[in-house]
Amino acid sequence: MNDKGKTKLLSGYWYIIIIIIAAGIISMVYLFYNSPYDARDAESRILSEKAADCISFHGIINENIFFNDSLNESFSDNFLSECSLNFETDSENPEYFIEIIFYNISEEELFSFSKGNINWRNSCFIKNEDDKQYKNMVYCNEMRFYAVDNDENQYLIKIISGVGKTDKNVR
Amino acid sequence: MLDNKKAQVGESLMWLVATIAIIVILIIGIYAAIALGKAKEVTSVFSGNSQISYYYPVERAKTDFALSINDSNKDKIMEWVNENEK
Repeated sequence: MNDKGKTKLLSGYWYIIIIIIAAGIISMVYLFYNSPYDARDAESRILSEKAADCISFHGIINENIFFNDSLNESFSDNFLSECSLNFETDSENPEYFIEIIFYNISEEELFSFSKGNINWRNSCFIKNEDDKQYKNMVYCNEMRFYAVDNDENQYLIKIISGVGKTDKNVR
Repeated sequence: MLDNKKAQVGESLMWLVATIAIIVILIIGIYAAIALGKAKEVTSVFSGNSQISYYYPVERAKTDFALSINDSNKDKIMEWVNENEK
């Protein structure tokens, strides 16, 4: 092969290599940025914090929660509006779930109420992060704290919050 | 003549190896992009993965406020509250 033919062959080779490298870089960028951020952990945590702020402020339980030493049904029924929470999303089924459980100091359950997609409650307790299907399930957070009412009666409060939205957070 | 052919074979082999190296590096990069893309996560500062030690969690603050009002059974309360962090 003469020098002219050799140069032609080499420049053709370089064009092919440049195209391969460009395609590789474009696919890397596309694959990385096409995957969504999984923000369900932060979102369920924020949901728990908002609910906790509504239930107890500076350690004292919201007085609207009780009615004659038991749960005020009006508060639990209107929990979302009382606590300025909005579970509405684009999807047909609710994408959020929250359960609030009150215990006495002996850890006996006094009362509880929940809002949102109650079907997800059982999924919250399946924690096998090695399982690939785990990522496609609802993401839950549990928060526990202690609070007192106006008469200084002691309560242990557990909040379980869950966020679905798998189609927007997992791919 | 033979030396010339040998040199040509050597040069071709060098280009072939270089091409394979470029392709292998690109494949590794693509796999890394897939893995890093899947691991993209926004965690709350109080999650187990957080490295922030100065964050004062809401539940701790609420519990401390309530304990400042009534701290009887404090050990039991703290044990129950901390059960979640295990």
